Amino acid sequence: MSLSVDIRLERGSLVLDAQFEVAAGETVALLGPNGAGKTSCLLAIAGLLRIDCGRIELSGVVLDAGPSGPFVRPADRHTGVVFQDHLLFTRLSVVENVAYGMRSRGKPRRSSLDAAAAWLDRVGIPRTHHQSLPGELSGGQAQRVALARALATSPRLLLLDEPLAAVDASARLELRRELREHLATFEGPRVVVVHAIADALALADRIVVLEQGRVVQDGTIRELVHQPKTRFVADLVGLNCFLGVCRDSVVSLADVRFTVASPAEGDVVVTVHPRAVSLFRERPIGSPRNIWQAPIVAIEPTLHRIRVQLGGPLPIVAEVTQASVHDLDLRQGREVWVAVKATEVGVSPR
Amino acid sequence: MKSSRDIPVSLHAAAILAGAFFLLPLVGLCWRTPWGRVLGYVAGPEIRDALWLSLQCSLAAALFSLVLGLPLAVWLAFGSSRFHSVVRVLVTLPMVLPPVVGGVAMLLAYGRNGIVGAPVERWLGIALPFTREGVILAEAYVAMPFFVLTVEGGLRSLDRRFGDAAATLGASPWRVFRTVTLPMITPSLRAGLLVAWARALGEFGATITFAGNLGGETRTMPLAVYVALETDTDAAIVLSLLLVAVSGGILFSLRKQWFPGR
Repeated sequence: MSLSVDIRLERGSLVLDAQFEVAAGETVALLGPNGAGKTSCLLAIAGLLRIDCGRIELSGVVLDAGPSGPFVRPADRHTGVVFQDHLLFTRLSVVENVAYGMRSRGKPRRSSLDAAAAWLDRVGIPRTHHQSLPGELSGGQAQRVALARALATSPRLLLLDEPLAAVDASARLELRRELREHLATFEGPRVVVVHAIADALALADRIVVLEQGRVVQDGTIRELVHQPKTRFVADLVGLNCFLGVCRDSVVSLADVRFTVASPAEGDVVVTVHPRAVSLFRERPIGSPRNIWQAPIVAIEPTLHRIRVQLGGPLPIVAEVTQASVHDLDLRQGREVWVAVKATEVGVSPR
Repeated sequence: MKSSRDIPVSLHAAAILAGAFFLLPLVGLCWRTPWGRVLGYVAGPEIRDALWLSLQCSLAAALFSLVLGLPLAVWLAFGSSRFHSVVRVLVTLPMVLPPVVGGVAMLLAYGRNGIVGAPVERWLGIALPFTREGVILAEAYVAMPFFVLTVEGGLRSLDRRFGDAAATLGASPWRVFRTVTLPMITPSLRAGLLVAWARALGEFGATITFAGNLGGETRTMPLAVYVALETDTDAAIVLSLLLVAVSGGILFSLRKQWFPGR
């Protein structure tokens, strides 16, 4: 059972033209900036948005092949969908919400409610909340109920739209761990729209990055970190990322010329890990390459290190220790020398 | 939370003026009411019949609006073709048309010589004009647009994604409508029924034109007021007061259910 997606559709200003595959038992994260078409992708797979052309197939069965092709109604697709704001039915109790899908498929009321209660137990909703209305739940609880409602119909395919967005930060990590366990026990293909790279890392086997309706990168998190193909991906993984032109191991980036250890020629994407950027008060002696002077624009502490943003010809971020901030007396506005080793510069063709 | 203190004084004055505009006719009515003879009038068979007939027919007209108007409202809310806008104009027309004109048009359609009325009477032996059913039809003609437009508004402001969620759970369109759409539009259903009923209760022009003015058969309260005004002014005043009391009483008793939180 695998999902094959080739979606082309226009919706307002969005022109979606995305192709990717999801194997059974695999979790693919859809990642991208706002308005990139992630949710539209999910809606099209669920059958809630018709495609203009292309083809959506689930284990060989065509679900949608454009206006003139076959189309399987959403009700007949057996797709479990967890919507971003959950869309729990406000006038039904929690347990009735979870039973709704089974009731819709003709299962008797009593056994549907029993099965729904069992699902709620599995996702960790206490029995005292089974008869509550969705409005009385916290964000994390509503998320668990929405997941139970989607799984209770025994779907062939699982789609989750930003499952962690409506949850406050304190509950997020715990919920993410639970979500990963539930995803792991689900046998069909799973697609998760996420906003943060950390969520993608935690939940997905593979990441499909959408930008302006197109798939700009499709690979494992390793591949994304080592070879981010766009600025957005690089920003996501926390790297410095520049576009430049490479000739004979020298990349021209604005006014700075970078010597690199790469055979690439032509238009390239250059990435530099912030930790590979060194800062000096005086011009360092020795290796003379990839050195320039720049003012400090901002200094911001992160969890373990300090991120120093530099201005000048090449805006770059350096990550240093608290000790070196103190030793070098780094402060905003001060001019420092910036150095990057050629071997620490990643270069990939555009 | 905004309080009435945030409103400028000049607006206050204008609002009081507007309130007085509605209050003064009621004061005038109470002022001229022959209070000593009210009970005598109300106990009389003519007023009792008219009141009973009015309540029956207006409720039936509201129910008629619900049964026929709901499908129409759904159809209008979920479509946007040219045909839809033509039908919407057609439905809205009775709201702006003088009801007498509506009554004339109804006579030409459903009357004994009307394009529909004549064959119906010939084959089924049913004649609508000058009957109770005629009253209900005339009232519904004028009242149903209020119901349809109110419910259509409710349907349009509905978050359709809840229906989408139900569909992904395997619900058929009919089940989505029954279990998701209908419960979500109950406030506008209630409001629509209320305005339709109120409009039907006060209907005059279409009723007198299409159903006539037969005492005990088609003479509703507004018609009785009109008749009494020409013969016995005091009776007209008592009837009017009664109509005000009945409508106002029902509105007041339902205010919590129909307009919660206000």
